[in-house]
Amino acid sequence: MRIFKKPDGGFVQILGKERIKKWNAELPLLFIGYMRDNILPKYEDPSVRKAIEDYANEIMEEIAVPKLVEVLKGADQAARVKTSQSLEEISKKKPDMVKVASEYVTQLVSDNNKDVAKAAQNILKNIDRAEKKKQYASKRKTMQELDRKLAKGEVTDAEYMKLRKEYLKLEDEIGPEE
Amino acid sequence: MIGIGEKMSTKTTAKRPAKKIAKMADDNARKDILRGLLKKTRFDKVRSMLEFNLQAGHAQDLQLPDGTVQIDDVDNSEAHSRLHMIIDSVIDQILTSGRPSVEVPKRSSSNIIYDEKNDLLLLGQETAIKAFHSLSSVTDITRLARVVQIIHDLLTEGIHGTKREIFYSDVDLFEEQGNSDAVIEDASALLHTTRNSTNIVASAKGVCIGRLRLRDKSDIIDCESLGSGGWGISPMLDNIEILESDAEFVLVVEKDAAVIRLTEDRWWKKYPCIIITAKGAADIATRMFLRRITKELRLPTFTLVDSDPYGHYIHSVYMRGSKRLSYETPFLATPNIHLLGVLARDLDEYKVPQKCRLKMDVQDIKRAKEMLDEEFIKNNKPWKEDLELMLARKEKAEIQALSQHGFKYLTDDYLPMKFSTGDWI
Repeated sequence: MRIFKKPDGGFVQILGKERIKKWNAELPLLFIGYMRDNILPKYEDPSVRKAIEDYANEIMEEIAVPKLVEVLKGADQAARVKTSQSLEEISKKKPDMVKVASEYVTQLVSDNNKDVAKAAQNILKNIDRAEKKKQYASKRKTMQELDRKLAKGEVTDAEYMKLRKEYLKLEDEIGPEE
Repeated sequence: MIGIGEKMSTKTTAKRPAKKIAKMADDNARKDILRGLLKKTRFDKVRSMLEFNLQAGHAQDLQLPDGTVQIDDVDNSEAHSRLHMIIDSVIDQILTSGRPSVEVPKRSSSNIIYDEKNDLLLLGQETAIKAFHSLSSVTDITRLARVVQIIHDLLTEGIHGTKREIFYSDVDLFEEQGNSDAVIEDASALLHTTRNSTNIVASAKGVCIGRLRLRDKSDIIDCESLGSGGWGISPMLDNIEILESDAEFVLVVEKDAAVIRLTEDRWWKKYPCIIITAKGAADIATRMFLRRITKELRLPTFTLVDSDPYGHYIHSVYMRGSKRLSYETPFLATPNIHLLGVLARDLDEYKVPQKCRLKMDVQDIKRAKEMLDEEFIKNNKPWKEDLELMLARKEKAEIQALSQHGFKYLTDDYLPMKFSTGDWI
């Protein structure tokens, strides 16, 4: 276990890297997501949070990404399909988690194995969609401000129309919620 | 500490004389001071035990004494290969002598050795020959061969079977579950593996609640957020991995009723711990899981059992294993576990009223005497003294007897006091 000391004298113990190395290719990524979403928020002290976050990054760089790349570049077609499909599943729920592997996933879009290529396309689509959702959320705030400015006559019709068009285009690209 | 009368005081103050009210105020003030001290000093002893364990580094692998059988907790492929070696040997015997047999470590009490150094009950090296051409052992060996075949199937498919399912897979042959259960244990001993390594599991009844995060295959389980029921300890522990914990100790509780009290108070939030119960006698999965936690997280571990010989026996099983499963002891026992309570001496110390104490019956007295005869009790002076006190008084009490002082007495007073004073065996 990796041990982190808390300022109150207590300890946090997190599974060591040696054990994580033995996991299936997609599991370390899931664990990092769990650490970031569920473990980090529990500890208020910034030094503990930073130490745990650094450890999550170490796992990501030293285990999660190399493991995925190794399997996806490997010759075992069944393992490649399984891993790419597992990644696709993760990308549906937590697209940010697989973003780190997007460089390798992009290369798989033209893969000879149709199942791998299809999963890769879907992963990229999910990452892209998530990115656009973030942009959309940010633009929505801007649009609310713009609506107010338009009502006050602080923005021209042409300027408003231009930004409104971009906003609606983004909304269209995201599509309905699944 | 608070008495029974004090709990009722708020409702009856008007009728009480001024002197009595003043005394109660004093008691309450004393109690507040005590609680303040507890907050400052609570668990300092437990925390230093944890610090010591963590600094000591990884637990050393157990060195078994000469004359005992080495049992391993192995993965699927190793179990498979051991099984094939046994079968190959039987086939060789058929081809060479035509009279095959297997040599199974004896599991009878005569072959159980108390390892004083490690404080464990272990299996000795005596073996029994089970031959196909002997009327006395042909039934046994046929059943054993059938179980070995089932184990092979389970390992090949990578699935688990329960003891009950094994019995129902060939009712005509096994006749009753006691027979198939015994043969399952023989098969594990034959392969020199834990039973879990054979993918045969028993249904588990243990529950775990508190500051622990686990992985069950690809599912992550947070033992803090599973409601009041907690996580039902899986018998398929080979699928379980400890991911994260900020617990500082483990509390093993005999009674589910006491766990309900602790759960309702979300006790682990205030006192960083993992709570485990097997709801009575400890089953294999719970013992194995407890051992795993204490070994990997190196947490100090305590038991809270009834103040009776059976409670002490349950503690002893967690500590050094049972005679029946002595061959698996190194994988089931938690030798560093401490008996926190309820000790016989606690009954006076914590003023458990006479009406809540029960008379020990003949069975209790017999069990207490048997326990006092055990080497591991003789070697543990405080434990021996507590059992002797229990036997001298012929009194016992359940954990729930403490609730005479109030429903929250266990969580707010008894346990914090025991931990802060280091009053355990």
